Amino acid sequence: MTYAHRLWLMIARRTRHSVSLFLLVFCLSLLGIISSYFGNIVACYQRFVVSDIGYSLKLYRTDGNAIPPNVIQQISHIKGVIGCNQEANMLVQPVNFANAIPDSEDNLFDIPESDMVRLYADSNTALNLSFANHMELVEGMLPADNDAGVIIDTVLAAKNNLGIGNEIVIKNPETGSELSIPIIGIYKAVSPPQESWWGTSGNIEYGQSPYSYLFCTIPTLEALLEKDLPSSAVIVYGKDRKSLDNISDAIEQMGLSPQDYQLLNRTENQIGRGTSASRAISSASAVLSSVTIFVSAFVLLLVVVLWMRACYKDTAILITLGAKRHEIVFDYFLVTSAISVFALLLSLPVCSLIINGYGNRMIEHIFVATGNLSGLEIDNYMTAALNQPLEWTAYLKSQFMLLLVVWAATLIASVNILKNKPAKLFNMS
Amino acid sequence: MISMNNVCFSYRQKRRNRDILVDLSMQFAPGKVYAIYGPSGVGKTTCLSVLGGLDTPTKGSIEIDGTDIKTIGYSQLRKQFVSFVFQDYHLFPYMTAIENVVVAASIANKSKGHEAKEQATALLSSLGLDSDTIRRPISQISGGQQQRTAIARALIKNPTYILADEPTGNLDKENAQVIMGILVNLAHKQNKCIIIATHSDLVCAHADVTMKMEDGKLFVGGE
Ligand SMILES: Nc1ncnc2c1ncn2[C@@H]1O[C@H](COP(=O)(O)OP(=O)(O)OP(=O)(O)O)[C@@H](O)[C@H]1O
Ligand SMILES: [Mg+2]
Repeated sequence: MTYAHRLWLMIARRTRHSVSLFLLVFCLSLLGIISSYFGNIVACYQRFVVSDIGYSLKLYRTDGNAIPPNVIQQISHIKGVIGCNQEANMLVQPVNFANAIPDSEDNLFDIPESDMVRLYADSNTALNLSFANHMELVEGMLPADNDAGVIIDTVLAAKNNLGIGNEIVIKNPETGSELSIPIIGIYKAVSPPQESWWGTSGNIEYGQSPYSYLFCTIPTLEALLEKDLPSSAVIVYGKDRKSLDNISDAIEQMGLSPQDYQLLNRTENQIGRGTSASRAISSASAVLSSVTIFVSAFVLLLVVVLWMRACYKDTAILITLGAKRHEIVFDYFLVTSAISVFALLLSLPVCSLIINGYGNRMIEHIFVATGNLSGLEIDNYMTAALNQPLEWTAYLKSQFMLLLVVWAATLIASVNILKNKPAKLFNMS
Repeated sequence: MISMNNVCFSYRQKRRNRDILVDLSMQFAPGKVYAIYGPSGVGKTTCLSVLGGLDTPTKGSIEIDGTDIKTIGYSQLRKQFVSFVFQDYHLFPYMTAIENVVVAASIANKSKGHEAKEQATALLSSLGLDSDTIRRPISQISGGQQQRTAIARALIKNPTYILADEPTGNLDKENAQVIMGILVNLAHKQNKCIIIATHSDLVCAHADVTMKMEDGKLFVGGE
């Protein structure tokens, strides 16, 4: 009888043991994979949010007055601050050109047909993350405070035969007034920003064509609006998520009157409160992952220890036949690992079936379970996150954790085998 | 020659030590069958356990041809020198009779695959187990058949010392006689040392040396 044959008999003939361990690892693996599926959605959601709005705070005056330049100056010097930007945008009507919409099917989200374009006014375009993270300047220069001008996308430019030096005319849909602006730069959209807006009616307005972004300076927008923007708000960009807290503290210590000034953590606000969909999935993922980690570790530990306990007599027999105790422990490692790895491997295709087939339904159930019966607000970040492909490395990580638990349990249960004389092991079984 | 030198052994029961073997010295030579008898609970099984290194004596030592078994190493001891036949057989319940015998050969690296299988079949059949019985799982054969399987497992390693605890306990007189015949033959023809713990007069009658166990000691011939 070969060594492998002997181990195989241990697996194949001790059916009850093998099957129970197999089923347990299989189920926990499903749980683990589903939890990392949700975890992945949450992580993607956060990543998309950060790629559009970055790590940013919004400081604004409640009375609508302008924030004094020296306050902005002071904030720019706080440790961790990358820069301050004043941002405003509005939908405008093209007059001497037409909007461009991507026709490719593989877009992450549906871009609504629209003939409107959105004009972004920034005090510093380079800090606007819709631009910084998704677009590249290919020609010309960015709009700067002292000269009026706009940059447009290559596709929009090509479609309308526009280039640097040409003028575009846009119309304020509210007042009907028109403005002609020279093109000073051309950018190329690398990926679509996924911003969405809370519309006036309280619903989410979806994204727009990545080609329909026009970037200009604040004075240009003021010219279109025919009034001064009070610059009562400023976006403060931080280095990372943690630095936002320090920056918040520093701004609070500047002694600005709390009646006049409000500070909002845009990043946390979007990530933390997000939409009902992101909240529901976050909590489901948190619950699931804590369940998988703690309960499964405990149950699995227990089952493997019991599995091993049932082997004490067999172990004692093997010892009396001349096997070394550490060799026997190694046998058990191989056997429990083989059963577990088999269960883990088998759970992968099953999981992929479940997630592909029922992922959406599961998410619906989560929404119902978390009380979101009245329909969901799913913003573009969530749409994109839900459409992310399965990330196998994350799943393999959760599977490896299970394998670690099995190994730990085998080791724990092996202590008795290594510690006791065979006569005692016979008595223990 | 396996010898016990001033061996003491006690179990810890209810926070007190209960002495089972007390300053026990005895020698067992190859070529002979020894029978140890004595009332139930006197310590016969314990004596065999200690002798084969399944338990360690609290005092004293066990030596094989003058070498302490600790020096030989327990694994080596069991692969090469000592086989056990247990009172309650201790067979692998998930294996067939023949697999139980073959596995012992493979652990002791005695013989290769089919060779071991042939040898095991021959051994089992000499003990009166037919080819149908030996292919059934242990749980589906009788106590006496299990006992004979356990004996075959002990023999396949071809050890010098066989420690057998009630090897005929579950057998009818005829079968017991066959088995004792085999064991006596092994001792006399192949120079094995066979130590049997027993309650059976038949076994004692076949043995070359009988020993009575009393007060933690062994008395040859009952004296
Ligand atoms: N693991 C143990 N812990 C404590 N006491 C034990 C243990 N094993 C056996 N004993 C006790 O030690 C004594 C000797 O036991 P042992 O099994 O050696 O007796 P025995 O002579 O083989 O009896 P039998 O003829 O019934 O098989 C008994 O009284 C028993 O109760
Ligand atoms: Mg006994």
